[in-house]
Amino acid sequence: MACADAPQLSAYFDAELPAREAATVAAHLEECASCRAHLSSLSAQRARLRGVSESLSASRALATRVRSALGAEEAARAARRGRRREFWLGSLGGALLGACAAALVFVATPLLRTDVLGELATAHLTALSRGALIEMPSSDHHTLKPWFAGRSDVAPVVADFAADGFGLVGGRVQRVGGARVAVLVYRHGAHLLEVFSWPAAGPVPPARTVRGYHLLSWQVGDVRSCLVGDAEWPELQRLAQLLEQRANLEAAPR
Amino acid sequence: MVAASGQRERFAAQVLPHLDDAYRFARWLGNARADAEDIVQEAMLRAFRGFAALRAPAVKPWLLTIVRNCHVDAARQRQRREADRQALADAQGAGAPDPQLAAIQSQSELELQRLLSGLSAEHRETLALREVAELSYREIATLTGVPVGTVMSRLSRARESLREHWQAETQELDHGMR
Repeated sequence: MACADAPQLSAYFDAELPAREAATVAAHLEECASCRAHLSSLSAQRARLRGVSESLSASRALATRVRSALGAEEAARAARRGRRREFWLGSLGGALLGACAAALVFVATPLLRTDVLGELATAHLTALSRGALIEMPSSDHHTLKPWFAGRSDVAPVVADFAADGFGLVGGRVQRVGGARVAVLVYRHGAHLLEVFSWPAAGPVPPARTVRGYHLLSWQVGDVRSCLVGDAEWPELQRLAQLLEQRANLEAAPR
Repeated sequence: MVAASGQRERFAAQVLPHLDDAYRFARWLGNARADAEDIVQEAMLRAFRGFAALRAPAVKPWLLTIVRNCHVDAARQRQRREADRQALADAQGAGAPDPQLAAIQSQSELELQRLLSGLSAEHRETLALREVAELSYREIATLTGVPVGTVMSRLSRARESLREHWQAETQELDHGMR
């Protein structure tokens, strides 16, 4: 073969070439001193880079700082949980007794759960009215997916379904309840549809309509998703189905 | 409570060992020591908050993605601050102190500065993810949001320009000796 080009040699050096291509390059290297020299310069370069890198370690002070920041975060979390519990115990104990309290818990629990949908409808409406729908405009999986890492509490399914009439426009992260919810925005004709995803367990709430907006929920693994929009039900169902299928594919063990 | 502290232990076992990787990557992205430390601390906090929901197959690329996001956010903030400071400095007629100068402390710091100055931001990042963090092309592609082919050509070009950079440097040294 003729001499390997630079990208090929560099990928060969990283053991990232497909087996057949790698074998061809290896055979050529046997015969070509100039390619061998190129390869050894790559390895000298790697040694020098790693040398510099290894001299840069995180200081002990940083390790300590990180540990104490994590400790503080955990303490704050525990305190929030405690406050929530106190609030409930307080309101129950103070105002109501016995059977009355039991009845309240019975009523309040499902209310709390379904109200998530109300909160999502509100989140959708506020975003629409403030024009704050999109923090990260992109229809590209490779751009949006990594953008969510560390910003939202779940890694949402990011997929463009433009061919099916649902074009991905972008995403944002929004606090709803205590969660940092990942939001994907789709355009469908004149409608803007939003998919909210956050970590959740328990029964999936039934489809509902709040202030003219339909809400359709599903669950894959421990990720709950809810599609919100003012399009017709069958159209929402189609997008939900596409997304759920994709989520199931991604959740499958590789 | 038991579940929560169990999570902290799992985090300490799975994520904290990558502290050096996170710090080095932050430095390679061009941050001076103090800025890199702030970025890493913020990244570790975000990672801790998102840890329960982590389903990525490998921890290191996930953590480095978060470091990258923090770096982008920090750079944006810094730009804003810089603009404010510049306005202030212009008003007072004085130049701002050079933050780079303070960062250059030792031989390896100098060498890093020299390396970084010869590379574009994209090349720097890709090279660091490959040579320092030792990620695969596929992982680098996912993390930086570009196709694998682009990772391959970026790496090759980064290596070429580094080689030229070093050759020029060696020649300069030779001239200096004579």
